[in-house]
Amino acid sequence: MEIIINAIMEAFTPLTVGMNFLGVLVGMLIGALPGLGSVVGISICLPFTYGMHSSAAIALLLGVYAGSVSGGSIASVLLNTPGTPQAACTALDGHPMAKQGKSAQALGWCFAASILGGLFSCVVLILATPTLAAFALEFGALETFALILMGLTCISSVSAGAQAKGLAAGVIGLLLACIGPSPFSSLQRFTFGLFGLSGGIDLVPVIVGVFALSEVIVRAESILYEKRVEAMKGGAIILPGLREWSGRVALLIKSSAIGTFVGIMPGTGAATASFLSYGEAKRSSPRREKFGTGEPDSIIAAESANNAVTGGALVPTLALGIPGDPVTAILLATFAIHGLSPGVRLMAESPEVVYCSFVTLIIANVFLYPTGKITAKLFNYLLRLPEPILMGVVVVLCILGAYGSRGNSVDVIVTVISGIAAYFMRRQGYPMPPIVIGFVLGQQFELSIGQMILFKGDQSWLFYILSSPLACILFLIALILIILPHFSNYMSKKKITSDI
Amino acid sequence: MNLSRSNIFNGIFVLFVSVLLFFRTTGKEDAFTTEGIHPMDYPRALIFLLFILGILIAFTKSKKTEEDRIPIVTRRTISMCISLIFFAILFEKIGFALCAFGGMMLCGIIMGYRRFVLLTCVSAISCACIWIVFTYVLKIPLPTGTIW
Amino acid sequence: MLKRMFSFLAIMFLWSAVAFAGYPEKTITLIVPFGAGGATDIPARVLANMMEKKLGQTIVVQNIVGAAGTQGIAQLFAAKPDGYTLGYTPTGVVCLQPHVQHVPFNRDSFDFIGLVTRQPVVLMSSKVAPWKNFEEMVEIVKKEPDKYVVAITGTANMTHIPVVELAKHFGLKLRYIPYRTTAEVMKDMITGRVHLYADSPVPLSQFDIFGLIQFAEKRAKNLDLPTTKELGFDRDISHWQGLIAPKNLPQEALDKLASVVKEVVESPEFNAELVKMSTNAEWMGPEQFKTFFEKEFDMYGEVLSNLAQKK
Repeated sequence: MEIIINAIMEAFTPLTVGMNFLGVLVGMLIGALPGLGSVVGISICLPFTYGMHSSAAIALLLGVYAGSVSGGSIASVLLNTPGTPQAACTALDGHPMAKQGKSAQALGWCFAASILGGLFSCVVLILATPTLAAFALEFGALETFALILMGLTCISSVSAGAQAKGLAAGVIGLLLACIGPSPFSSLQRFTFGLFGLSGGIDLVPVIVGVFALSEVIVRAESILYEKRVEAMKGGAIILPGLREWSGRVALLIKSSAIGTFVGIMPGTGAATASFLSYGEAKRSSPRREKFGTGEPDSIIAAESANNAVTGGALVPTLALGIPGDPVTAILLATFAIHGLSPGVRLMAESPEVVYCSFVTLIIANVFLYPTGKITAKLFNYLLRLPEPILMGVVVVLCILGAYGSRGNSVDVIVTVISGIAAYFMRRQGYPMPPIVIGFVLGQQFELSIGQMILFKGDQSWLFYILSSPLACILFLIALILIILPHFSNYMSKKKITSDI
Repeated sequence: MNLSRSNIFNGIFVLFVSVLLFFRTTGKEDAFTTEGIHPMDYPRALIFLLFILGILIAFTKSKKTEEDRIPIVTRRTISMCISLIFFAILFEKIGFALCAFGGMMLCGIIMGYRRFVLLTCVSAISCACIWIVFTYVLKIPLPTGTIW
Repeated sequence: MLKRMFSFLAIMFLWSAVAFAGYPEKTITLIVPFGAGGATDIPARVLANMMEKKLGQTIVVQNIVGAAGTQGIAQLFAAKPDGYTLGYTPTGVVCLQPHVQHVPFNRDSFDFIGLVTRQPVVLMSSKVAPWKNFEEMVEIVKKEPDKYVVAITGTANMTHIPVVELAKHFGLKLRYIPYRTTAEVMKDMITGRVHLYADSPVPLSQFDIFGLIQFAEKRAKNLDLPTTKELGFDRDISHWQGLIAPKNLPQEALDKLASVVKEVVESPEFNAELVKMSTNAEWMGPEQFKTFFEKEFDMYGEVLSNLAQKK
């Protein structure tokens, strides 16, 4: 108990709080700029942490993490170009809402969902870290495959109304993940002989191309037909009132849970969480017909999930020393630099560090609101710039963001090609989210299939699957998720015909 | 059957892409492989799935959306695509500064901005600001051009 | 005629001395072929930090990620050899990858400034595995071939080759299962789905696993594990990291850099920082490093061509 009190006091010292706020602000600003993502934000702040006290360093980095995940939604809503990969889903309903003149409300939903989602994951983090970490360890190749299969079923729900095209887009996403080395050999696939592609393609160029560049190409022509989003009066954010939350609380909790869980799974990140949560909301929300026209449900699903990842990712990081996503991997390195041994011993040897991190993350989530207001106001000024100039700046920043993510100039070519291809696909009615879902899940999907085959060895498939009750449950859930939408459609049609 | 011309075109295009990709999976020498798993099996399965989806797409009915009144292939969109391609190709060769400046100018002109003096000034200043932020604050080196 | 040649040579010598008398005159870029915060990145940043103070010029670390480090080193290879672009490379990228995939660089592509860190490869085992030491492991694996699992992070890379060589020498039949990152391997190792893993000793201090043997001739300090030499397998496989530059680095720049890096690597502050990362500093000068590299390159080449022939 004393440790917890010490940890809380440590988290509230002026230096730590100051670094926390600074981190959230810097993260928010970097996240808001189209193209630059959370990993870039943290990598920049990493050198500054060398001389700092460990709790201040952790506060700075956690702040940047939480801020960048949230900040991306500002560009998503106001420009339809995501600021970070994890904010790509937010644009699907956030931007239509902004086009109706309700930018302030859209941003309000974004921040409310982000803060609540982040706080949810923090509560889970504090209460259940050891249990959840132990649960995460149960996921071997077979269970991971079942889990990813569940994730891939979201492709179907997201493409409601354009099933064949949506599935094709999903398969294209899965194929994009195959570019480069196979996990099971040194053979290079689909690289067309280009050495620059021998490392595969990265998520940031794909998201930037598919969402941001295709939007710029669309605006080149649509600027003649449609007015752009207007600057908000006074740059204020309007938070949603309590009445607007009725009927949406269950969705908030479910999306936050999805985000927390995806964060706990090592190897997945906030982008995966936001798309999966969006897919699930589209499957189950009573207002799913209105998705794409400015329905808050979709914003809640995407934003609460991507912020819930921040807490979830800390679970395996702090309890096991296994990073929950690329950003927490850098966080672990910071622990090592400050002489704290990351790994199973951290909880045992330095519990005050662990609890301090929990409290720091809670404070960072609270800071999202004031920093969000500041950033939104600054962004608002950008909206007063003539649109052709603003789009030019967006193009340059986006391409730079894609380049800066790996330092590889082939990423620039990948961005442009995916942008042009996505433009034509968009105009032909292909939904964009399945491409991203297929891409983010693709690598792990192929790896887990291969690992399953190797682990199975000479046993029969049935024996292998039945040997893991967890896997059986997951497969069953995946099956239900695939059948349920079609079944409920059929039932409602039957009901309509029987009512007549 | 209610067939739509654009969907037939889409379907055939997808079929074409899947056949093309299939040929990229054949004829590669094996390097170091894990026993029991051929690295091209999984992509081939996906390509086969894509082929089937292409056929399904060709037979889907079309839907009218309000975006249809905006034409897809126009002078502006094609010029934007071409400018982006040039940007990507020249990025390493002539360096960030010239590329970004040219890109911003082209983007503005394509989207119909006619106040050239203001466009030039704003583009130059933004490029300079971005370069300063990236090089000194973010410490991410930007390409300076391989031909100089 | 002779006088002309002599004065020409004198002028060239003076010119080069004057031109590089001021090295370094501007910012140096250090390319790190892996991501920020990783096991290659942190020692590089610590090194760059300390070198900056001695050289009087900023060193900017540029992370160029991809294809097991080959993207970054390929960019280094393509850079101008003027001493202002350097690279910090681990073993696998320059010694293994040229034999495994098509890369633009090879044995003679670089100039070597100095070795910075070196640690033996350690074969680690899960605590759930049915053995307590190396001898028991060999016995148990021989009794049940193709049952026990070795995790690797990529086909024919630094986690694969040592185990293949070991298995060949002791006549073991093991299953090799690829993972993407060390973290994913550790997840399965803690639960016992995977039994063996070969890597630098860093994970030993972070996770609940234990080491079986180290691939070295003599025991490394603070690593009390039997060596392969003690067990009759004369194989020295180590994870090292060093500073390199594109070929034809000017001699002045090379000398200056080598002397500065030597000072840093042998300093107690650098060693203390590295110990925090569970890494071990070791210095080798330009000539020694080059010879060492060539030996390693040829050794891995032989091992990989044997592996390829077997398949």
